[in-house]
Amino acid sequence: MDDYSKLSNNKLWKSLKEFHNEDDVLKMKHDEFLDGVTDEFDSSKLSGISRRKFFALLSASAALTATACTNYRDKGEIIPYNKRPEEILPGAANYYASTCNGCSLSCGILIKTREGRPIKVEGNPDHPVSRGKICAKGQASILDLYDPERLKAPYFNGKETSWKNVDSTVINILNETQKNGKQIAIVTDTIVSPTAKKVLDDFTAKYQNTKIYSYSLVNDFIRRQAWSECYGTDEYPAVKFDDANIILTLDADFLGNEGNYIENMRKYVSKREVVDKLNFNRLYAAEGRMSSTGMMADYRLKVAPSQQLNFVLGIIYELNKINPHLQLDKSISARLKKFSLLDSADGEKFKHLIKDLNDNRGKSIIYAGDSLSKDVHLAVNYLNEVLGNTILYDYKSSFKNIVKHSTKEEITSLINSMNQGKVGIIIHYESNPVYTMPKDFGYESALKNVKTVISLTVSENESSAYANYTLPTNHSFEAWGDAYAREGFYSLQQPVISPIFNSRQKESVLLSWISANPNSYQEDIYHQYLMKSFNSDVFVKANSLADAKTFWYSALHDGIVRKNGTRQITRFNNIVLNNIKEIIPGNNFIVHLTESYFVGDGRFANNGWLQELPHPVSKITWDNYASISPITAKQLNVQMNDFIEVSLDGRKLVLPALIQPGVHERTINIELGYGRTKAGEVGKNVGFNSVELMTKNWVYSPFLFENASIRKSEGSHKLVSTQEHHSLDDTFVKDFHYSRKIIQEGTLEKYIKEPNFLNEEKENLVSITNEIKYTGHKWAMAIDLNKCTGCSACISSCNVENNIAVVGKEQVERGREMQWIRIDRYYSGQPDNPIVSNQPMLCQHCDNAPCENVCPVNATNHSPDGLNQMVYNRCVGTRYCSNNCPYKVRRFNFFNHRDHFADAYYDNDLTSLMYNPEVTVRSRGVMEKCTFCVQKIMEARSNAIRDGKELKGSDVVTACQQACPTNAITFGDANDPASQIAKLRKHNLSYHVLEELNVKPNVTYIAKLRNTHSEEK
Amino acid sequence: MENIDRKNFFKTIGKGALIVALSSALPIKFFSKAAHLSRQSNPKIKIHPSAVKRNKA
Repeated sequence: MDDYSKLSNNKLWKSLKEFHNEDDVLKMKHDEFLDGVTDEFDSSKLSGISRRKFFALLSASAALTATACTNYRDKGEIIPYNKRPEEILPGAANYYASTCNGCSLSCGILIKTREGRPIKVEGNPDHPVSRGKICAKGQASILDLYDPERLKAPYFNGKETSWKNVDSTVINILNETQKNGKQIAIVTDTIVSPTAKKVLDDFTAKYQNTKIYSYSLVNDFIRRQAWSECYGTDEYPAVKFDDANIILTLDADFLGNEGNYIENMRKYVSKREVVDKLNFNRLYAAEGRMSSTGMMADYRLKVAPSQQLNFVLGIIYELNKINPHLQLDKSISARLKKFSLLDSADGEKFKHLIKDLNDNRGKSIIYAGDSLSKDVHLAVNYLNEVLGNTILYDYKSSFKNIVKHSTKEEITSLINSMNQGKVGIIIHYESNPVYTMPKDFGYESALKNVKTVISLTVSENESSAYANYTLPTNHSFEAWGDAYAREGFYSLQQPVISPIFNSRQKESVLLSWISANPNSYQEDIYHQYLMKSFNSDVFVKANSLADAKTFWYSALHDGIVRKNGTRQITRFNNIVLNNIKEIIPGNNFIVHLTESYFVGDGRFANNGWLQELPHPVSKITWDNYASISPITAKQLNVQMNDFIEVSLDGRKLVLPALIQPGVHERTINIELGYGRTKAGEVGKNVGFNSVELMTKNWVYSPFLFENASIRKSEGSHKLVSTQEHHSLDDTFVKDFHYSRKIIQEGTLEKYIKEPNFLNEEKENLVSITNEIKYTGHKWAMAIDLNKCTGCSACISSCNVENNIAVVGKEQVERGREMQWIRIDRYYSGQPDNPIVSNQPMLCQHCDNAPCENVCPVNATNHSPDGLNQMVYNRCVGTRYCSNNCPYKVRRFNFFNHRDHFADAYYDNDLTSLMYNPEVTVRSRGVMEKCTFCVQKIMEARSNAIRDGKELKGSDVVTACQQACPTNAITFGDANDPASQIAKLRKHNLSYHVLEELNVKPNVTYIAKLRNTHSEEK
Repeated sequence: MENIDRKNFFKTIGKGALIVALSSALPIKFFSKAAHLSRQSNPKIKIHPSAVKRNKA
């Protein structure tokens, strides 16, 4: 049996239920719609109604209607501008360059506005790191600007007040606190803005009792600490993953949510190229949980996080055995030993790994995760030194550290001072320490001993609940700012919309307090400060020929200013090897806490789009859970959704279990960012707060805890996964996904030997209907499965572009999620360590579309340029089209979801401002699906006509294509022989899903190649 | 159910309709509270005067 057969002969399965062919999965596949509306309607249970009652109700309704109709809510009138703002051309979008501040990566963004309303966020193509791409969170962050629960005015002890009152009283309190010698504490999240730091420094200079504390729940503190010990600086370099032939990750989700994963993904796929040239790296992932990176790995080894140090030492031991020329430090040589904790199957992979690392010295990289212990990082840094891999460090693009993360001792000292009444004022500077700090710090109770608590925040949170002053700050799209997150360039953040509410820029608030004059506030106070700072720190050093004003406007236009990166290469300090503390891992469970892929550290909890994005691995929405291995579940007699109790030295958390294939038997992975108690209607009480398991007295790292005990608890909690939704009925076809070749894969070696291996069994299909010739444009898409990491940026971008509704957990459970594109995740092999394949699935715009034939009202039909169209006004909601769609990509509006979801949370005048005016907002009873972004095609066509040019396929960039960080999606005109899409459709590795149905789909998939060794049979 | 004769029934409905007709004619949208609410529900949108737009490449 050859390699390809080995891969494709495995049965493909989407979940453990499907692997075991459980009845409810079979039923789910057989029924087109899960418990549809009609299933809930039982006419026999309806009580009769008397004639009199009927008329009484009818008259009462008529009377009420008459009353209601007399006072239409004034929605204003649509009138043309009488004084059109210079920037606005009605109907045309404007773009503004800015910087995303959803996390500390500070990616460059372009904010698209229509008639002054920001409606979409895209990556800034000029940004040297993110290069036009941003993550799913960044895409969906626009919803936060229009969150109806944003703070609209300042509050003092729960009562609305004016900024003038706030300024005068706070200035008095600050002066008094200063006079009394009490501490003024400012608790911030990670700060990447050099100018914001200057403001804090100025504040400290004015009020000298001020201390700044920087604390964030998810951070790279351990990595920085280890780097500092090894190289004398905590600003660690970026890694040139695009130059690495071999990549080994240790519990590091560098393609999921660690490091600058947008940049990492781009670099990684640059060596997954099959179209123009064959260029392949090999990815090994050694991990305890199943991560996005693990899903992409050519070889995945199950290693518990607490074993990672021994694993690294085991690698050095084996390398030393096969390569005696390695010059090892004595301190490390003494403690080397064989790593024998691998399964037998992983033992083979380990041998390949050792050989690959030795053969690719200087061309490989070992990358440890942010959540691993400092000792692992020290050992990994040393291993990269020994192998000469440091050549792949990019010091010109190192990660800056503007304000250092506070240590445990500093935070403890703050809390002691609070408890002793030595802190007069505490200012939460857009931070939420009550939620993010481990509970044993006792921050929450210590707050009660502080006389004045001020929360500067966009929306209320757990910390603002304790604040005397809750002061609304501008959303980042309403605020000025800058970022110096990476060496080599500086980014600017500009407001694209004036503040919608009575909020202020947080830096401006501090500046007016620094002035000590309550009347000093001006709207442009920070704008002026930023320009001054920019002139002195950036303009002067840039040696530009332009004048300062021109340079400033040019920088705002571009969003970034390039700086010469200083190259700081220091020698590895071998002495640190003595500091490596080996902890003998026990046999108990290890709890591994990781950042949520979509709600981050909890800051995006109130964003419905992000809550509803299916988890890249488990496909769970609206929840977090304890991810455990199938073996562990069996040992504990735990079923999916059962509550389990996780205990760690007295800290307990009860949460549902998810049986996740591929998880190490001793690892329990739980995501952070859930269980918020004060986050708005959408995010409140969603999931379980795993910060409860954290402690200040950690041993390995703040995110990793040994000696956990778990037991089955009473009850269960329904976890809702989209994975089995929209599956095909395979009652009559055994091993459907395999036999119908939905996923087609091979190995690199096989492809080199037989480039046409995928097409060997292809047959010529004959149609019983007349073929339609597309003589003009014919729109088509290709998706390269070698490059898809399942990051879901495409789904998020599609949601925003196409006004996709949030439906809520209860509706997702019924299979009614509305996302137009889904990423199917298939497993193959055995559940203990499966092979994973991702496949984005969207409307295939079939030439012989089976949905079109069955629509009784011709609501779905075909355009002359090959689009499968939906006419919403015609749709009467028979759902026949969805029944007849072989790909299950049509979505039916069972409700007007904007009204139905969370008591009409998103049905308000504010959130409506976010809608893309080019796309119809659908309502109840209408079928919808991917349109290939027809509005963008129309825009490109209109531009081409205006400019007197011919419309080209490359003029159209669909929302999913624009968002894809790896450029896995190509869109264009299939009739243009010179186009990339035409080339991809003819590629040896191209295939169509369910080709044999002869529906002639227009989405082409490029089969995935795995770079495994030929011995893998 | 209470036994209401046909005349009483229509009498009640008639009274109800009269009250509804009268109350619906009241100029409630000019009442200060209603007007205030109406203003509040229409957020003001203004481009930031210092933003620098760009043409997308």
